[in-house]
Amino acid sequence: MNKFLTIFILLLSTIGLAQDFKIDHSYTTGNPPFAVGDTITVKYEMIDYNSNAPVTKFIQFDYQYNNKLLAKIDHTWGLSSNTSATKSLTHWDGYKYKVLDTYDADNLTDQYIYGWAGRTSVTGDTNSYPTNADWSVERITVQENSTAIAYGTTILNVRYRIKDRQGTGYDDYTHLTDFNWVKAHNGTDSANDDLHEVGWYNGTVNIDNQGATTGVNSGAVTINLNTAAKADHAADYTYEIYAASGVNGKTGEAIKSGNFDANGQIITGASDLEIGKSYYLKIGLSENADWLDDVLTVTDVYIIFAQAIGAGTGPSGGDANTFDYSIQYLLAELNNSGNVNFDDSYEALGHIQGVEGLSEWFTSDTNGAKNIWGTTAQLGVSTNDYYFGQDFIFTVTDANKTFNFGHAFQGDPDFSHSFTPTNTGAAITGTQGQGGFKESVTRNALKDPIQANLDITTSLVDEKVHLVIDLQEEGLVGTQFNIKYDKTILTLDDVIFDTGNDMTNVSTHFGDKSAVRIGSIDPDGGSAIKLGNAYKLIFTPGVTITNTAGLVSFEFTEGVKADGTKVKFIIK
Amino acid sequence: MLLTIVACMSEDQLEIIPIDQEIPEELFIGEPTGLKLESSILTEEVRINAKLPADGHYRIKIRHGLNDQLISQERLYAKEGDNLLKVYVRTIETSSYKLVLTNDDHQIIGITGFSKI
Repeated sequence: MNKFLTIFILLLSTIGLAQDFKIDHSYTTGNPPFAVGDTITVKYEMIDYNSNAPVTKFIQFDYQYNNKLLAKIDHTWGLSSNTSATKSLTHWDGYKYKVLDTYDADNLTDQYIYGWAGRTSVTGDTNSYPTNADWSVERITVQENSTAIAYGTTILNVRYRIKDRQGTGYDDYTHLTDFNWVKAHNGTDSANDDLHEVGWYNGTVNIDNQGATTGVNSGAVTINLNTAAKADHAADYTYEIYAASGVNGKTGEAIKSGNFDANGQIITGASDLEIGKSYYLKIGLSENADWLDDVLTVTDVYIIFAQAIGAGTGPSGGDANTFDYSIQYLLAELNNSGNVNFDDSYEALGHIQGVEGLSEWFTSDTNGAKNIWGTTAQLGVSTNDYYFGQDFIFTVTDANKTFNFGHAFQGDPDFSHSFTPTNTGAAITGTQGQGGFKESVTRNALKDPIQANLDITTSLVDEKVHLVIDLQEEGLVGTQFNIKYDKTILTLDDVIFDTGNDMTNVSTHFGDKSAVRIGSIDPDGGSAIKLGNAYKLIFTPGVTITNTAGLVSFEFTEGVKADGTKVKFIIK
Repeated sequence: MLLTIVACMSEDQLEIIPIDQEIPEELFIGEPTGLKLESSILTEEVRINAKLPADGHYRIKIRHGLNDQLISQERLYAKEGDNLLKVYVRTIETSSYKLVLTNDDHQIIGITGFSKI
């Protein structure tokens, strides 16, 4: 019984595999990988794959090609030895052969007999060519009266232009054509039981087989800006996209540039970028950004002082290290000396005091933006390729068209206007960012600020305008108030501090901007600012006024406590 | 316009408050109390009428039109009834704002909006 079964299976196999010849099609154009817009030539021929092919004087076959990926240019008949042959090519758009799945797809003869010619007899599956807008079908017929059609000779060359697959729904160029069926015989025996058994050599043309086709438009690519300043200033950020060069470089002119939108995004046009290419992203700030003096504030000053006092200068930190993230050594490096020390602290203090002639290496209205940026996955994690994790490169693929970049400012170690690293490798060992429990000044500064009441009022007193700041929060070791006044009416006469004996008070008058910056700081956090009317500004009106509403406005207020906690003043 | 200037001593400060002023039609307030602007689109300054329930200390606040952040605040002593005052807007950014009149305990008496252009 088993012997009989084995013989039967072998017999079936022999019958199933007994093809007389194969039909083949393949691209003949050299120098793949190809690019969108290239022209390829596809050659059709019969292959005597077992050196025992029968005489063939009639062949008819259907093939189809994806018209979303290929645009047919023209075709040229081969058959140089069959000059007397009758040849025909018929073309239809908008159809695709439906393989009769009771037969193998590569059994092209049976696909002809049952899948096409006899399809109406197939119960429940009678339509061999359903409509399909993505495909075009061509039917080739060659009939020879005398000389047999030669094997290994080109029957037909068809030229196609490679189309951009962007927006087609196709992810590659691996399946561009199909053989549907073949009818072949010796020119006289055309009955179905006398047809040659034909299979295929290559079932489809795949032009990605030696590298993905290039020049494919990416479609819309989204780049998200990540920074704390995005909420108020997203559209002030600028970008430039270049072709990438090397690991982290760029080459040529900018491919695309502009400003991030109000959501902090770049959404490219469909044809701006290409699939499979790498790009270099540069992020900067518009010249119109007039808030850069607010990046380095009293909390940053306090953090840098705390670092200089307690932690030395090494990036490995120490027990008294203020920083949580390695990148803070860059953000707090204000004088480009290579270390964070008291020199940086005094640069920072000088900034909020309005001192002129400071270092040019940190962000301010005077210096402009000192930008630090990179992919959020890497930013803050230094490698040999990425200085403090500034990875500028993104590569567009079909699977990934959304990219996240972080941005930070040199001069912003409290990250108030910057991206706080999210890669755990960016955190200093022992800090909470690394899973530790260390409660650092930075950690506290990064928490949501506590709210504290504050009363700031102007009044007309003895024909002078008094601005009084009434501090009501205990434990403040630093404050900063940026104030503007109407210089067409007021002249600043005096600034009076009542903050206690241990405070370094700041009072800077920017006459050209009609602005005053006042505040205080105890760099080592040992003393708190005295409560009550800590600050009083006195102005003289140049004209007669009966009240003061609007003559003085408050632009920015901030406080910091000894542990680094930021204070948001609530002015009723 | 008839203006009478009176001097009022309040705490440690002397304030000069205009009284018995002729109220322009555009600043007339029919209710017992309230706040009215001469114009709602401003560039430099504008007259306002603060109509108050009693003599005392009051506050005139300029708040941001969206996030309510306090931009400027005056504390003044004013009399019962109409008070013709001014609001100066040269220093504030082009945007939309609220003008709020409160008593000294921040209870709102009048509120209106304006735009700085």
